[in-house]
Amino acid sequence: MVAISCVAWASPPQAEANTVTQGWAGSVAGLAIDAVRNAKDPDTTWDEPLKSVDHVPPQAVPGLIEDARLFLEPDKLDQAEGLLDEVLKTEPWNQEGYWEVIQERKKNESRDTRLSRFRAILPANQSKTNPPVSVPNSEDDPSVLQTRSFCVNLTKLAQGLQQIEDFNSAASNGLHRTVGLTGKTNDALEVYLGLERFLASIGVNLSPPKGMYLNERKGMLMVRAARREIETMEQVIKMLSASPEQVSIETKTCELPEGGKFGHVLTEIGLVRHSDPAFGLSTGVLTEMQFHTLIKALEQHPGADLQTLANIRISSGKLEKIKLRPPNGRAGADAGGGRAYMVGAASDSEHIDVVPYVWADEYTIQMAVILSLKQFMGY
Amino acid sequence: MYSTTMLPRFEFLQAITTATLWDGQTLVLLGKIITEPTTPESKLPRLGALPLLGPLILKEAEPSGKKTKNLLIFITPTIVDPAGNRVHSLKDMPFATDTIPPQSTDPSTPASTPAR
Repeated sequence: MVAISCVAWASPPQAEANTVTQGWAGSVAGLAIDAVRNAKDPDTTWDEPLKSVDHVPPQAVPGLIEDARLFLEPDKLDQAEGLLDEVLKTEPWNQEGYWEVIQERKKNESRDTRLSRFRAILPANQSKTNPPVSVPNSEDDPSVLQTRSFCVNLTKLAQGLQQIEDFNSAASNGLHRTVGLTGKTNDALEVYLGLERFLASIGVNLSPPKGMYLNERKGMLMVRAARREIETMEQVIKMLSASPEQVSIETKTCELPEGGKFGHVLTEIGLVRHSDPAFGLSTGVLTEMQFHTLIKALEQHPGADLQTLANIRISSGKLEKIKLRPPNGRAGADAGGGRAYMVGAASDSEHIDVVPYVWADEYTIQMAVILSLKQFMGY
Repeated sequence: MYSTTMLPRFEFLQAITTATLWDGQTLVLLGKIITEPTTPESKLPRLGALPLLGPLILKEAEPSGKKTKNLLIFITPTIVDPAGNRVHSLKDMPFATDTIPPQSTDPSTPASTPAR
């Protein structure tokens, strides 16, 4: 038993290679390479022992690269690596052939495979041969054009472009950013031109041979451009086609006799922020708890006339009109102490225009409110 | 026979305001409205109804005769999903239970603008 152990220790297994290169030399492919070298030497005979040659002849390089490609197909990366190492020894400047094989492999395998080992060897080879040669990637090459089709919603695309144009015009005019959408278009040509303008403004130039085609009926957008430009377009279309947040707006009105304690309650508790002496309009913001408390108090107040208007739901950034309807079905001017500011059951002149704009944090809402009233002043 | 016809007088009011709210909070507008408008009164009873002379002796009531009321308008925007359910609850927004977001202090943007 002891003798067997000593023999095993004295003669370590030769089959196991310590390095990849040694393993390569003992592999079938390595023997094949040696055979190729010896075959190119006319003085070599089969009876002579195999000679070790430092480099393979240059004319054998294309064949080696082809063999490396064949080894890559069944996932034999070690063999392919050995072949390519030989190629680099012979032609250190031939990095391109090396990388072509690698890129061909990258298309079929992910990065976390053995290919990562394969790629890690390249800097070592480069350092001992030539300075690194920048090989252009065909996919990143702007001259290489690709074609891709996108499914687009023409209406959403038009709204998104309209919003951008409104925002840009408002920014240039110094207006507030909550200016709502004022126009819509479903014209494919306008959408096409608007999209082209916006893409040009962010650096995506689609001049020939690049191009873009919008199929209005099928809602398809075909683009032919470089890969980076197509990626940018994908993000733009995704952004423009995103659905805006929906906002539900509940409106209540309440009349209070003058002189009541609720007339100044908002001011007293410090909630009123703005006050307009010309119109006598004040605004404030209530939390949910404060609102429910105030509504309960108003319901119990004897002189309060609390009404709930229609509950509407609109998209963020859109303008909606809420009509002020007379309570209890009364219509027309009532000079005897009723609602003098309500004339007509659904008069268009008395309404509230609201434009809710949900911010990017999806918590904050910017509200723009236009209150229009028509008061009866007498005869 | 000639008779005078009283035409009603109306006043259009328009106010613009902006505010920043958190989801579920309420914007409240507080204004004053006229509930008992000015009515013409004659100095001498019955003489105001006379043709030609009637309008001459009518006298409009003083503005102090207007009766006003406070009008409160509550506008509560809530972010909802396409199904109509509320997206955020108060548990998602603990900051919104007792505080309000900072309001715009830009003096170039007036809080309310009357347009008569």
